[in-house]
Amino acid sequence: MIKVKNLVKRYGSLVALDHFNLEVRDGEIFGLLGPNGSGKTTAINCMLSLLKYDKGEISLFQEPMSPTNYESKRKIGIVPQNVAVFNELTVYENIDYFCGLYVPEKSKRRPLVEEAIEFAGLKEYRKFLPKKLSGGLIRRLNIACGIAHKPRLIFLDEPTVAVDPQSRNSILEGIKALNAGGATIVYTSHYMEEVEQLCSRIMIMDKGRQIATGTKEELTAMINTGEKLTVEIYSLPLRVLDQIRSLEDVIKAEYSDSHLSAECKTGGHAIIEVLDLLRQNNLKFGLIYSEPPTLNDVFLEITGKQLRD
Amino acid sequence: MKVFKACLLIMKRHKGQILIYLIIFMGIFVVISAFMSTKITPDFSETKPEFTVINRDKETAFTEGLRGFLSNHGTEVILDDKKDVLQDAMFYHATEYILIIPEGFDASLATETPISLEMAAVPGTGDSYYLDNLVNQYWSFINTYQKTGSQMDDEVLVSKALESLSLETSVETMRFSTGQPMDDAYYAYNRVQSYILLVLILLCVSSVTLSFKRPELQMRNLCAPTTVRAKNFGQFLYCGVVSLFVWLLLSVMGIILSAGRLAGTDWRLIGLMLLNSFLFSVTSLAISMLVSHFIKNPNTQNAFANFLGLALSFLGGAFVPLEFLSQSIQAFSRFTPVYWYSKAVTGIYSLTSLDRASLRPIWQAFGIELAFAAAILCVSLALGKYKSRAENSFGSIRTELDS
Repeated sequence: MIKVKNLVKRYGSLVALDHFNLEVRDGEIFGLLGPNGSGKTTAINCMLSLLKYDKGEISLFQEPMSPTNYESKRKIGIVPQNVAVFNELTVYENIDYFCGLYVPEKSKRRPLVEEAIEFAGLKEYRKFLPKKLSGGLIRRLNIACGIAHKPRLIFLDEPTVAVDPQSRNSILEGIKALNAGGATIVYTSHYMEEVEQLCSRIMIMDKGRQIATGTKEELTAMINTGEKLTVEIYSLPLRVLDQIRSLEDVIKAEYSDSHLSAECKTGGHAIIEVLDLLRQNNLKFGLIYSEPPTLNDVFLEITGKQLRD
Repeated sequence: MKVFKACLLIMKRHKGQILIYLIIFMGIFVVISAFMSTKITPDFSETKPEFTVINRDKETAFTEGLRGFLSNHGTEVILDDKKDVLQDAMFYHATEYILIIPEGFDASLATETPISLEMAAVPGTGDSYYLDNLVNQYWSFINTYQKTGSQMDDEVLVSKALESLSLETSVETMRFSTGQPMDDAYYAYNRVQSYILLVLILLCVSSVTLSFKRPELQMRNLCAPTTVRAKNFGQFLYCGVVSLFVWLLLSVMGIILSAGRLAGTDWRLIGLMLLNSFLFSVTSLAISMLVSHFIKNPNTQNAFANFLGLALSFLGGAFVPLEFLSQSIQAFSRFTPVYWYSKAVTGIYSLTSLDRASLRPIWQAFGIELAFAAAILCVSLALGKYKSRAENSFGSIRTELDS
């Protein structure tokens, strides 16, 4: 569906995309995950021929992408990061306008617009101007404008930025439904939870370069960190902490703010051993958490910084 | 056509703003027309100046003839030949002109050095010049007949002179129009119309371009499978249609508001006024398209429109006649299209003939207005083309790198 080879894009001396490669398969939800400034939006804009690039090849639908490749553009839907709707047009008029750029015939367009309104849950707001809508509803309108013409490939560039949790869930469910309807989706975000929840394959980006690509499981398997253990405990002698650090599967253990944090090796588990040690030393503990490694851990281990830094 | 329809919808949402401007403008016009309205009377009544003839000589055929001749053109006021009486009559305007025939005047006519007539008149009045002229005409004819050596009796001579004086040259008025002169208020409306045309067209055009040039919408439109030419055509079509609408609206309103006073005016003059305002609408459209490139947000839109409209209209003489402005400003104002619009309005208003020579300055002003429109449009299109390049237009969009 999408093939990008050795894409280089510079803004003056700043390299925004550094030999960027990407392959998106038909029917998948592909996630581009990275912090702000990692090059996600620039990559999408290059793919859409909105930006000139310095080097590389981009093909969409097995055809080289160019600003005049209207046949490919007809099959693409775009939901930009910044809400792109006319403030002077109502919800219906906005969707109708953007759909009309792809589907000129009014008779064909009308059911598509109605369907998009239904899909985005904007039926009650069809005559509202955007300024009367909440942040979440405007985001939904932005999505409806991008998908009304039933595109085969949809680019969603951080569609949930500044959206309340309820609207976010609604948007994510909608994206899954679009994918279930046959659309291939490229989804960018700096929220790892969303990407984990939604995407079949994920590319982690930083400073214009792809760091790792694969399914969530493949990505977490790439790093040394395994299970992460957190225990609420009111005091922990240094002697006991050292004993925990010396356990076979534990690679790191810290104590601060009444919480013991321990990280295990990939595939390793130490919860039983840690709790046994605490009991043997007559130490009382409260809540216990154990979680598998996240994409943030992957990012942290590869780049040495948090995803949300 | 989708872009064109969207433009119309956007304009529809701004109709309140346009209506406010129209109402204010109409209010100003009503005030102007109340001050400037002229009552045009199709007929005029002839008035006759008052005169007095004091004859200190004997009554002769010549003096009788003079009285009769002057009485045909004025009203004789009989006064006593007393200094006080004559002074009072002059002071209270009982008479405008006193002609004194001195003693021995008749006898002196046959000599080489005739005695001069005495005259007293209210200084600087048209009537006194008029009567003075009549007296001179009369005596010059009498002298001419006497000097030709004819042996006519005095009565016959006087009657011949009066006959000659009664001859009138037949004058045919070549004025093209059988109608009334143009109403002053309609003339004033057309002068000030340049301001409201410019402001309204600028607001209509910039309201739409402001929406379309928002970076995220520009980008979004570039993603669509519609050619840039088709999108530009839609916007250009809108600009043309809205300018035509504004011109039609203002023209119809001007005619309706002046309807009672335009009834007898030559329709060709009104046609020229309409053509002039139409050409200025085209120029306003070109100015609006150029200026729209520089209006960044709706907050500055009104300020921009008013500043530009007022500045150009003042400089161009729409509000204050150019004669009242300094030479340097007048010289500068020639480089503004409003100057040529105002010049054409004044030219049409003052037209007394529709021949080629009279119309030449009007056509010249029309041509210069069109030349302004063409030049500004070319600059605007060139600027638009430069800005519409994908890289350039997208350069202003906030990307992750900026956030």
